[in-house]
Amino acid sequence: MENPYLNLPCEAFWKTGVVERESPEIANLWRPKFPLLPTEKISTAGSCFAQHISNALQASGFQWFNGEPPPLGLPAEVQKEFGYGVFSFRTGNIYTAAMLEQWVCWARGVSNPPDEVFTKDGRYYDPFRPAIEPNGFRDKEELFASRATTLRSIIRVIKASDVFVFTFGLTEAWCNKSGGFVYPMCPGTLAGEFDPSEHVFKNYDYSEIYKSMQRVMAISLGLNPSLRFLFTVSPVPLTATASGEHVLTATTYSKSVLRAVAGDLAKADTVDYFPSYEMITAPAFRGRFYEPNLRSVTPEGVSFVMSNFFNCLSTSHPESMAQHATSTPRPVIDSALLAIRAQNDLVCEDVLMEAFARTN
Amino acid sequence: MKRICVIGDSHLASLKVAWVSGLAERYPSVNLTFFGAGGNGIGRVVAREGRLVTTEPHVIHSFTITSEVDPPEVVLHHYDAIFVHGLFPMSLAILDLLRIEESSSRTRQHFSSALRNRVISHRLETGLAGHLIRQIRKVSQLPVYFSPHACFCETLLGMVSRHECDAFHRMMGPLELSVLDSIEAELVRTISHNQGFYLAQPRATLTEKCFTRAEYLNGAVRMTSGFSEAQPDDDFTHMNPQYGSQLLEMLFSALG
Repeated sequence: MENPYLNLPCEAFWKTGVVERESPEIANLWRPKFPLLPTEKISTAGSCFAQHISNALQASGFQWFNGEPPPLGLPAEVQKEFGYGVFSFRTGNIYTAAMLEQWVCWARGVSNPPDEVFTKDGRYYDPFRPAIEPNGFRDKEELFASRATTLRSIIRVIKASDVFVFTFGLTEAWCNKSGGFVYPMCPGTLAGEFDPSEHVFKNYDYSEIYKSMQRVMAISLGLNPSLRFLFTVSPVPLTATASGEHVLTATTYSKSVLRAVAGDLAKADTVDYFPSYEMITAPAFRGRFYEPNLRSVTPEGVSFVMSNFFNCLSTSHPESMAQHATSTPRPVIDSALLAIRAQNDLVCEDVLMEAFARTN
Repeated sequence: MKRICVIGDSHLASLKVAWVSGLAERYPSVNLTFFGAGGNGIGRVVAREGRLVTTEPHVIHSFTITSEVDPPEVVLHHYDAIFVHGLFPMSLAILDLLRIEESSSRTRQHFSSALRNRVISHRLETGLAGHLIRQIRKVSQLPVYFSPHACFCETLLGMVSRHECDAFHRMMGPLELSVLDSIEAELVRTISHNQGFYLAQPRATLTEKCFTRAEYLNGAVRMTSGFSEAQPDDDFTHMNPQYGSQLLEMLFSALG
């Protein structure tokens, strides 16, 4: 009897596509819609996991675009300490779509950032980039001047990029009730003081996140009509949840919503979704790509994700890799491994939340 | 008699000529011995048994010419103080912190004071001056005074091509001495961390835009030619004995 499943490839079936293959052989998880050419500028932003993408792109000879470079002569570890070279602009991690929307709106002048600052020991901390200066800024003026540089960098990155890669991290955030703006971290954790009358918890739902991303894309395309988007979802579980749920179910909610939004956004021709989330979390991989804390992704996991990224790109769009192969003789997987080994710790503000976990 | 060892790179020439052509007579209670090595030569100098020595032939040769000491080694206990001069290109340090965000704009990328300080201290500590001071500190607790290269001469502005000049003006034009002040404050901190003393470029030698005044360029001589040959016309970094004289007078004043 004829039916639509008869002529499907083996990867369309769980048994033949997953169960009967050793996990490293599970391939074709991504069919890139568009190539990444050696001449194209690729910019990155997002959650902590997104840093792996920028590192691997650079190591593999792609044109990762750094719109806010550090001063010359600054050693790599200090660059990272001050948030340079982590993403294409110096916002620090952007965990939520609302935060990305807020940055893009501020940069474009659609809205203005509040003049709120956090202070500690006579130093000034940017509520929206609380870890960007390890010991804070000297004064408010310096903080605002630094943020203004970042806002200009965001515009420059959007205008100059061919592809913007964003990694979704969380649905949960803390907002300022009267100001209506969103913080990257709960005030009182990394910096600032928590004020229960002003600081409210928000767990963004599908429609809110989808709307935020649509706005980001509309503003970006207004500046650069040929910009393409590549979305991923971080496989790193929540460090903590304020939702009242168990952190495990809160993680499932968060990642599921983000995955759904990313998938739906990728229905557009110029938007793609890269399944880094699935490559780490799927049962086929039996959790092997997680460190003992069941949260951090191992270097092997990152290497698996990034080698899949480059292999899929090479299969679907050989032109993406051909010129890299001549200039970069290393196998792609080696490049990814090198990138991972070359880096020290990623810059992940959210892990600091662990300090607030009770032991009983 | 105060015995001072002056050690540095090719910029030492302005000090040596200033010293032999007049200052030595005015300061009979001071004795200066110069050890100069051009380029990165000081990077090949190491501390050994109370001395600063090198096995690099061109540095040995240069030390011989500049010091007239045999063997050409710095025996540290022969001196009461060490003056390290040059080995730190101040104007390049400034330029590194003045990036223009876009080629068409005048907007500078903002770097925080903490970051600027990290850049400056890193440059100093990992550069030739830092190397030399560390070598000295391995074997001696003598007072160490340090002054960097003079800022580029203002004649530079007229030398660069029009296109480069536009960019240069955009970058340096709005520069104020306060930028130099903040860089020097970090140099003071870094040097004092190494139990040393920082000597700033005499402010009278500077324009308000952080360039060395043109009058301190004319008559600059090359160290490697035995202090007899003039610096080429297109040089804008090596200063003349009038500059060296001001710096040495600052040193003597600091020594008390």
